[in-house]
Amino acid sequence: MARKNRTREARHNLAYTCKQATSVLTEYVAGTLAPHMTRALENHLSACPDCVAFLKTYKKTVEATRTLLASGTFSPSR
Amino acid sequence: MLRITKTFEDDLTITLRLDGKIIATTVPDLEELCLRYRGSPNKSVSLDFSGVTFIDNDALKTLKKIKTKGVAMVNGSPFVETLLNGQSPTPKAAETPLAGLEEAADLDARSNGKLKERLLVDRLRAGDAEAFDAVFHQHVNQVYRQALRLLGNEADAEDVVQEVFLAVHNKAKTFRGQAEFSTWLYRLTVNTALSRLRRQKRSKEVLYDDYLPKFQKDGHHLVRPVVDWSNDIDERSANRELQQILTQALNQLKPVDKAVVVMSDLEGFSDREIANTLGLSVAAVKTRLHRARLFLRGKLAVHLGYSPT
Repeated sequence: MARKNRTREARHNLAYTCKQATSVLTEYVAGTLAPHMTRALENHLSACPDCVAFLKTYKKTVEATRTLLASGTFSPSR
Repeated sequence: MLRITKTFEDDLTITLRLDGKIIATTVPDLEELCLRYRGSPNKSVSLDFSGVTFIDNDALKTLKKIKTKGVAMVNGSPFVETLLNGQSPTPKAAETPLAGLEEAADLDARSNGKLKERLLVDRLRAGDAEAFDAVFHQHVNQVYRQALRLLGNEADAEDVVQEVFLAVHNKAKTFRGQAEFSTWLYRLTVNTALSRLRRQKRSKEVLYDDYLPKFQKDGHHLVRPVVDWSNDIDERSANRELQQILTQALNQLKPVDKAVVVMSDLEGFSDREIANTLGLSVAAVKTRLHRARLFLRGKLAVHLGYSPT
């Protein structure tokens, strides 16, 4: 039981690097990231302006892609 | 490859059986043979299409020309007959529902639709030509649109429509009904389009790595500070040039990665649905989608004058 609690606590206190934070952005933006990982990511974001900027540009890319695809003007060529 | 076999000949008639694909490079030989035999006095030529698996648009034009010279074309699948009779495989209004399905009328709309589809598919599997025709007209629009999204040009999309419905004709018996028919058809369409993309030249594919973020050993971004250029996109989002850059970047993705992005960001499929359609694991779908988006982000960054990393 003590071992389980320590593992759960370790997960709650997970600290991300920028590389780790970047790796979970797809799930974060989709809203499917696990709660403890979301907390870890948001903890990181609160202290990392680089990753905040990266996330904004990532979200904007997803938005621009969806807009382009939905507009019907996307014409993939060979 | 197209194999042409003389299966019958007498004083009045000659029959040539065709097996394989009739495409722009193989149809000239066929045309020459037909004209040579037609040149014989009082001899009629008949082409047996029972072994034909594909006809591209250029070959179709030549076949129609051959037909006008009095060459008979027999034993084609209903789909091939549709093509040879001058009907385009591209979107067309649905025909009158197949006779015999009225018995489903008592059920609610959703159950009614499912039962009708099941009855239709049962008849399709039994080789009913009318059922094939009904299936074709019910689904051709959807198949065409899906192919067009992945391939982008109408000629390729039309070719995929042909391949898909020829496959439906040839493989209907193998459909076991574990998934809905429309799901089976969708998977067939996506995989046929992907096969076509993979066969095409890959000269436009670029290395993803040049556009993916890079990190130091301690996990920090390699190039710092990371610039937030997202507002530049807001100003330029209607800009034709930006759309062109993003279109080019999408086209530079590997075919399966492009399929994942289109299915996720345009068609709204879940990771599980994409995985089932493309034969990938859910984890692989997530990885591919993530890398594709990082690549697209990197391409946009470079276009805007910033580091991709």
